[in-house]
Amino acid sequence: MDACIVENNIIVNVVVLPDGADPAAFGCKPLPHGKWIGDEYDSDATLSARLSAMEQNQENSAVWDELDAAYQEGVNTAYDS
Amino acid sequence: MKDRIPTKPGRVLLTPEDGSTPFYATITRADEPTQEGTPLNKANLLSDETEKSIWDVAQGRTVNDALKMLADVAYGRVASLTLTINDTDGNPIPDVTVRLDSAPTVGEDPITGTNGKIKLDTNAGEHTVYLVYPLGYSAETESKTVQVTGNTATTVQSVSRKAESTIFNLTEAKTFYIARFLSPVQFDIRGGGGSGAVIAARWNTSTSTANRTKRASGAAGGYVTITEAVDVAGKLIRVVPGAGGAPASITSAPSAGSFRTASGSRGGTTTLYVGDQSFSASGGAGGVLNSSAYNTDGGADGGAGVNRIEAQVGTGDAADGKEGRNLFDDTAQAKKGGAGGGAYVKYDASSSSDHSQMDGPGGSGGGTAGRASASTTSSAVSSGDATTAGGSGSVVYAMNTSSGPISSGRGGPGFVAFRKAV
Repeated sequence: MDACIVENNIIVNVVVLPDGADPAAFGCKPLPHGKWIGDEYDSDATLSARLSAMEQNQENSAVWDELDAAYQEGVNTAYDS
Repeated sequence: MKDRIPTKPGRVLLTPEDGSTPFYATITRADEPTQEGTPLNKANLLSDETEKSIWDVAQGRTVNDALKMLADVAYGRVASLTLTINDTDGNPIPDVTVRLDSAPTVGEDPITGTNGKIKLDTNAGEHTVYLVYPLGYSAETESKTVQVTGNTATTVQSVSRKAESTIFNLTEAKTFYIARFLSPVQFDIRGGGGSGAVIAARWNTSTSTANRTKRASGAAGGYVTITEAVDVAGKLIRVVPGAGGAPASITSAPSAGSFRTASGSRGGTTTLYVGDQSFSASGGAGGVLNSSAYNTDGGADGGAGVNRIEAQVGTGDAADGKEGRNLFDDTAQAKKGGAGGGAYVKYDASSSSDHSQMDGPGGSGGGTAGRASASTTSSAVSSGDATTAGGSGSVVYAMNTSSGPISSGRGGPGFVAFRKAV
């Protein structure tokens, strides 16, 4: 079975373990379906959390503004309805 | 126990109860015995020799300790099992991992010494001894039931040495020792092969001329690291093979006039740890979209996405995946890690005779062929899974109307092979 090695939440390697082995015994984590080398391991972060993370990065300010506007519009639409 | 060692034998300090000044005196027995009797000292109560007979080593234990141990042994609360593990020729086997009553974990549980012996403390009764042998013997694991009372000794002599010419191949993560008679060994380490890229098109007369030609190079085989002789005697070894690249897949037909693409994936890195040394081999790159060049990012080059005019290179075609390297670069051994074939399609909607397609075979040693077709395809297609660190072929289909997936195969998983160094 395949398992992955994760560094800073990025999958850096995918390796072959014996079926039924405990991935932790080899310093690995279970490989999420559809993920591969280079992907973020934990993709369950909410949109709000991702926007908050982007807000910390000034280089992404333009993207942040665009996403924030879209997010707020979505919130307003939800309230309006 | 320990004898008292005075600097002034018999000397005592007397403190009178009437408060007068304390003074020193020397006591000498003056009972004129008819028999001297047995002195109360270490030699007579618990000598080092006697202590060793109970615990194997003298550590100044007391008579009370000894009596408790003997009672524990007598009532079966404490016992020991001394195992001697030999091969069928009588040679001791070091580095056998041993555990009582459950399967051992190599690297965590105790191992036999260079004399093949190990002593295990337990309680009296029936026990099952579980053994994990170093790689190099006729069996890898064994269990045996033994009856333990007091200090029990037993010999296990049931496995034989494999031939020194044996090649061992590890395709899953594993922690182990290697039999010392094989040391030093040579390792061949292969990263996982990449997976091919995929293009599924559904062209018609509205498709631009530029988009009527599609191509992709095949995936490269895993990178290769071959060591010189490595001393492995008594060293804990761990192998973690890289996975083959995940298949690229397009799961629904594109709309008329358009196309879809999916890149190939790189194989995983294979890592080998020998004691405090480590070795690795990276995975081969996945197939490259829109590439008419060899995919050189790996141990064997993936075939190019080319047509027949572009394809001729010497005696072969550039679309062919290149063959893998021989194990240990030894021409007497099989090739491993061949690359995937490339794929190319040109579609001319005005004249079916102008359609052209080309795909290359997989390289010898695990690579799979590319697949290309300018004809209408209504069923699932795959270039097939590669093996032994090989790359899989890329897939280009021009008239895909299938709801089934158009996929490349999985890259071949990495591995570590070793043999006694010659």
